[in-house]
Amino acid sequence: MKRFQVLEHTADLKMRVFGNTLKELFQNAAFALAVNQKGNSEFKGECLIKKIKIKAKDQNFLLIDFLNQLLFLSDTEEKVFGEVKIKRLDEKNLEGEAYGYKYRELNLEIKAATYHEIEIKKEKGTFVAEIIFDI
Amino acid sequence: MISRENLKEIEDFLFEIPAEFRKEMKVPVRIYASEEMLEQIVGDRSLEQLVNVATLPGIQKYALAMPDIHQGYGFPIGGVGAFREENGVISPGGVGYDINCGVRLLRSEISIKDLEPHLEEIMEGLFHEVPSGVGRGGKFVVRGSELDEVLKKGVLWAVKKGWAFKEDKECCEEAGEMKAADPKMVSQFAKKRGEDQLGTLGSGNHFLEVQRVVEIFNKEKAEKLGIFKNQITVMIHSGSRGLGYQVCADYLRILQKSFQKWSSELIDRELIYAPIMSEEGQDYYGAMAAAANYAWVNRQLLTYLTREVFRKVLRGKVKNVKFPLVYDIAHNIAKKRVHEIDGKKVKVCVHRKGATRAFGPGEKDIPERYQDIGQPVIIPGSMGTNSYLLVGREKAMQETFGSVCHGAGRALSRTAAKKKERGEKIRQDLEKRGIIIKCRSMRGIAEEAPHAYKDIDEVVRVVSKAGLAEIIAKMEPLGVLKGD
Repeated sequence: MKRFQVLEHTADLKMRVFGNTLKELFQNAAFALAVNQKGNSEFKGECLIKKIKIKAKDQNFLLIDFLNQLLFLSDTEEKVFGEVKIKRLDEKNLEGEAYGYKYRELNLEIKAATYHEIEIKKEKGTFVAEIIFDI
Repeated sequence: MISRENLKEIEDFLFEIPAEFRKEMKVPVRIYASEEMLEQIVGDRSLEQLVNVATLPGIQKYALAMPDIHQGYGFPIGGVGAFREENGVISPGGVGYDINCGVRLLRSEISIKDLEPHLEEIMEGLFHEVPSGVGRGGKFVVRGSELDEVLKKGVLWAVKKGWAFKEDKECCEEAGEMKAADPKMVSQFAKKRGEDQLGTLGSGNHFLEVQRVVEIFNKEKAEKLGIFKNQITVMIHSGSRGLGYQVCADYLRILQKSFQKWSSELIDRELIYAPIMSEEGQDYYGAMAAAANYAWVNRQLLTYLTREVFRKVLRGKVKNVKFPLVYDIAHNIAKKRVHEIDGKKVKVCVHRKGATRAFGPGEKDIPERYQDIGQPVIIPGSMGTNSYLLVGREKAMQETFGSVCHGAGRALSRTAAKKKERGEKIRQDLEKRGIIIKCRSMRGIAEEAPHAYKDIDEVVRVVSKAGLAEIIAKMEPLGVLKGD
């Protein structure tokens, strides 16, 4: 199954992310973010493990706040967090671990994930979300 | 969908969507554009977004669009909205993630004929000495109470450190130090991101450009600005880096939680706001002003690095290598100020997102040396195209809260731009024209190619014909350093 797809947008980065389960959707969103930051999906070598714990109003906000947390970690730890293990995910909470990998140079500087029209939907049994990143 | 029929022509280069267009609108929408530009403008959601802005509490006069307008989220880019302080709102989306993304112009006594033999070496020097900051930190690591000094004092901090002249501070919007800055309102997350990013360019459309003045439109005013034909100038376009992005993200998050306190309905999530007088509104303003100061320091440190490169490369070869600052302007910012509305003085918070302040002659906020001619306005073109220096006019004060456009505005998406032409070919085309491009990735070049943007000459012509600003000089790129 495709994990994500990059869509057209005039000024920013717009992506559609997929998942068979909600956990998978969140994990694929983290993957999509890191692939665009790094320019490829080669996450290897020593990894830095960071704990993630987020509370939000609902799952849509949770997804965006989660991605922004990964961007914060990325900027401060100088790694891309392409892999995430989610231990707890409910309407308002997310807990897990993010694995950060080194990179030589970043392909793209992503400023933030935005709340723009964020809505996790279910299409033909698959969870889908469209996310706009400010770049 | 808004179409051409919904727009009423008010005068040449000025159109209006009346407040009756939608019942929630409190004021009309006004668009500065040529008839030809309108076709492109109605092609995206920017006017819908402006109509949404026109519904926000406390908005004064008009929700304004500049000719470089394009779709953003919440506020469009190239939009201006002013809200009455006592009952109006402040919105982080009306400022943008890159708080105080802005541009400055440095002038010199050097002319093209003296620089030409050394241009390649200068560009190499800049490429090596000026960090892009994309995954690589800067040269100035600033933490803890010192970072708080940067956030509070802005360019004054840089003057004390010996990285700025007194004149650099004078010739900066807000003197590079917004007094409302409150470092306590900036989160630890934002500060952590900002620690090693001072003096870094950043990517996307940020750049450092060595230019030549190719045309003077008003010799007398150009002289007052220290500008002459064939002069070498440098333009630096950058913002508040990770610190600013985090401040915006933090407050969007905070406001999501608090919003129920003042409203249950939100026309567009990204248009989330707080009443200016609320605690959250004041906190955001304090944090935004601190991030703005950070951006001014950032551009100042980039200036310092640039001056060092020129000095080193040209030592013994070219005389008088100084690069004084003409002016520095913000184009993503919110400013509290008293403006005259319908004959009364009203304190408003003016949001400029992808729009530049352009105060006319006699305004007290502009440096004394420019009082006669008006505030310098720097409009950078996109990569490989012309840039302009203008001065603000009184008409801007009356019609747009003293605002004009900020640049060319995007016309093509990044994917469409990449499909249209490959980065390597664009680099070759530009180099055929004698423009040296220094950039770490070809992808960055393709996405920022000239054809991805609107026509800067047209955008500037419209603001000039609309009487908002006067064109003084046109600059052409000789060498461009891009962030990524």
